[in-house]
Amino acid sequence: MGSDTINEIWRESYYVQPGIERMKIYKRGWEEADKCKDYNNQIEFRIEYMQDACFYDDVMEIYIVMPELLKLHDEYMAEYGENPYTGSVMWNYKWILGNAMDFYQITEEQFEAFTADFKNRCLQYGFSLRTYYEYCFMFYKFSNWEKADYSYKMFMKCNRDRLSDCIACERDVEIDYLLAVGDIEKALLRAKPLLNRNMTCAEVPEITYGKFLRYYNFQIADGNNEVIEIANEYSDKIRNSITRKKIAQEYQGDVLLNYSLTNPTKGLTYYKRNWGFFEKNRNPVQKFYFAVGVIRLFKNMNDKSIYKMKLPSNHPLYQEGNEYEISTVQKYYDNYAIDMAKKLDYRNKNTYYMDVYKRYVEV
Amino acid sequence: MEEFRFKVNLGGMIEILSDHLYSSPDVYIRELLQNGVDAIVGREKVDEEYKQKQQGKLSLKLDEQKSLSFRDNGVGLTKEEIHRFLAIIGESSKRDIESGKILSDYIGRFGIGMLSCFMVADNICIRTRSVSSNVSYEWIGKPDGTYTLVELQQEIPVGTEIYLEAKNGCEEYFKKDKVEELLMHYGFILPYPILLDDGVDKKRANPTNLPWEGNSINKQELLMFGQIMFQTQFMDCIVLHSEEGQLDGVAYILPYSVQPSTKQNHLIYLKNMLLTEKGQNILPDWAVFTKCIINARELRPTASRESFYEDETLELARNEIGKCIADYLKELAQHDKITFQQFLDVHSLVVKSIAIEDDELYQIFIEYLEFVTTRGVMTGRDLCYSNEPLLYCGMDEYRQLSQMFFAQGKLLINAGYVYSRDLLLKMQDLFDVEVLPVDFSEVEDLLKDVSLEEAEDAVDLLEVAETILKPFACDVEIKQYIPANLPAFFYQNEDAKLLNEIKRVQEKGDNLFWNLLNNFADEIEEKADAVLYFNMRNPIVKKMITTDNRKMLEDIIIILYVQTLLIGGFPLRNNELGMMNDRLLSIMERNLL
Repeated sequence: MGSDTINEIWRESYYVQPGIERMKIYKRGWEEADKCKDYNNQIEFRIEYMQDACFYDDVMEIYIVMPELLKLHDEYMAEYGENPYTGSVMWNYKWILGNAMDFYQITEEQFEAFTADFKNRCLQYGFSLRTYYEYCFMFYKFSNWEKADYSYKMFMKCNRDRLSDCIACERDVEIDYLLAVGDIEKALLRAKPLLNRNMTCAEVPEITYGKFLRYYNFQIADGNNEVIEIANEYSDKIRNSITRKKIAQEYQGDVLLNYSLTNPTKGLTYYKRNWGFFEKNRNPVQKFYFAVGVIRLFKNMNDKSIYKMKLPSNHPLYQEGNEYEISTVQKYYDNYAIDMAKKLDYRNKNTYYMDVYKRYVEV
Repeated sequence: MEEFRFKVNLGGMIEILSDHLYSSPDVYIRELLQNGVDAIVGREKVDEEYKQKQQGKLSLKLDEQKSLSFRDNGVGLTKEEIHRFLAIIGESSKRDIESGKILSDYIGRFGIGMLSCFMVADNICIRTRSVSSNVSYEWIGKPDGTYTLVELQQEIPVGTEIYLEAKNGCEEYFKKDKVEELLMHYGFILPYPILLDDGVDKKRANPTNLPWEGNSINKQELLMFGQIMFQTQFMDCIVLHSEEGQLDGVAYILPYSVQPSTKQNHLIYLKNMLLTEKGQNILPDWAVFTKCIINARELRPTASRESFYEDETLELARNEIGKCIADYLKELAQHDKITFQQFLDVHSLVVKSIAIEDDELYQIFIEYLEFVTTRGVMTGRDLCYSNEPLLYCGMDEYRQLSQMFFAQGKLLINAGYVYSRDLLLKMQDLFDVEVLPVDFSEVEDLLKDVSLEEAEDAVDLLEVAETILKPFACDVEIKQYIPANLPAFFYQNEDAKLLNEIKRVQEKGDNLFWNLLNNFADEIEEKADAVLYFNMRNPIVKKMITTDNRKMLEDIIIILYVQTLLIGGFPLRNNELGMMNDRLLSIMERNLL
């Protein structure tokens, strides 16, 4: 009965689009597999679930599923000395590391514990440390530049292997580094094959657009109006790809920020359509940028105290008369943005997010 | 500083081409055809009469399993061009000398196509005479990178002839059936005649007209054509046209349903030459219910020539193809409801996915879109005119709540089916309806307060229940609700579900994550809400209130609790089933004693 049910669950999943609904099916799948101790399916349903969580829905879920996946993997390994799922599990482990910088709940000590474990596993299973260093760079670039810089250089030195990200993603990391050191010219040059779509993957160039948009938004906030047009182009590209590639959603906050800096009228329409992104999302950094975008948007209306707009009744600030006190809306997002900035900065031991907040809001 | 030059090992290059760039040696015919067509296009540019009289032609003479000679009467090559284009890899005769850019009316672009002939022959022998010269040449290239060039004494007709002798083990690529199949395969829709001479028969290998071109398109012919090309009897077909990428073709509707994530392989031609049978990136993702034959004139092929670069033109072309298919469906939905219903019976999922992407189509399809609700299956149009907020929830919550919503005549939509949630949310954008996820307040509205006396009577029950359910972080309340045969109802908000899951994982998962999970749990804890509502209308609950058998009461509370979890489809964490069995056993033992 167990295997029939499991096969039926797999079949059901094939007809469901990636995301929350399919994740529910996968979860049912592993619960069934857990019941009958069907090892392959215990692992496979969890792997698929994490993939959907990571790329289509709620990345926080991966941190809740990974402990069991890892334990299942290790128990099998302890018993048989090898595991056919090692490659896949290690790939999923990369997502744990790759998203860590967005979650203040992951302390630096916790991240170090993850990376130490990941490194040991790389050495034990015969993988290059290239990926290990890549993800160390991504985490430390916000908190410890010395470590980040060292990790990046080691990442570039180590050999590629089957655990490595695709060449498009790795090029995107290079862009990240170049933007972090402020070398925009070189970043644009190296990004050329990504931006003209000669080098693409499931995430690139959408995440590359996002990085440039974030860079140019900063520039605009600092008063450089010459880059408005370029920033708008990146913003449009992300907006246009959101329906096709969900990964682009990560930058919805940056799109809103761009509108709030360059075209508040459109920004308001965008906010009314996408406010749910903020409510549903559990990624602190993505929510932070969205919140800052809203605050900045309503800051443009400083001459008014009440603004009339139609929001649906399930909006947390819904008012029947459609009249909203701007200060109330701002406060709602302000509380969140400041809280997140403090928590992220506390973890990162710096003032990066508070500075971002001030850059957009207090200018 | 001393400068050095790279040397290229041609033999190694050929190995790379055959192992990694080309999918099979079959492509050598494609490359021959392609060069031939480009040569004809080249001559048409300089010879108006040739162009007007449509004199371009290709011919292939075969000595079965031994050799073949392929000839075009195109522009030919001068001596300089031979040195330049045949001897330098990566140099293409289709490149504009001034700008260095590839001219768009040529098929070839990379200057590596001729190398594919080395996959089937040891030498490549080319005889050519340029349209601008009376001198003919013979060039023989070898895979070690050397070549010879001699001036021919006799004059040959303008054009180029390529002679290949089968190398050991490659004889099959020179078999008549194989060559004929490859000519058909790659050159089926070429606008120039391809004449095949196998020493016995001489015949034209490609048809004279394309079924989707011309003023009067015969649908039956098109369907027949599709059947021949794909060995499938299709439901219907749609003629495609896009100005972007200069693209024409036909989309065939599959007679069976497909998964939305399926990637269909389409036959893609570039300037009438088959580029790939596995074309995937040219159609919108939602058009999975079609198999297409497409001829593009202005899209940019990749170096392997088996797909197109993802550039802006491709994106625009994809949108235009999408529009052709969408227009067809629109027409069908509005004017041929029977056929549309047949289409829906097979491809309902696809219709839903299109409706999500296209506002106009959504409004047309709305009467066909079906939703599972507590009032039975309703169409999108029914919902739009229901004049009440449209409450929806996922599959699990629907299982949990539908019984109560149904009994009280309240509308609740199961948005757990594929695309249902997005379709509902779009309804809010396009019509004047309110679409909301079910919220605890709506559930509370269904649970009515009991009278003061009844509340007083239930105090002891609630106290016992609170104590016994404490380990499950579950509060208890007494309410009255319909259906009366439901003794208890368990409600857990999303945070409580997540908290439950985190605790379960902490018990069973890898310890490395313990602290992180604790951090997550601490934040969620205050928002988590789980309540078991006893139903005062239910006779079991009434009995529980009046009983003074404490042991029995505890047993029944646990049994009801686990039962509500099972009805609601909640995951069981702490051996709840075992606990229920223990309690049932305890009741049985007491009654048997």
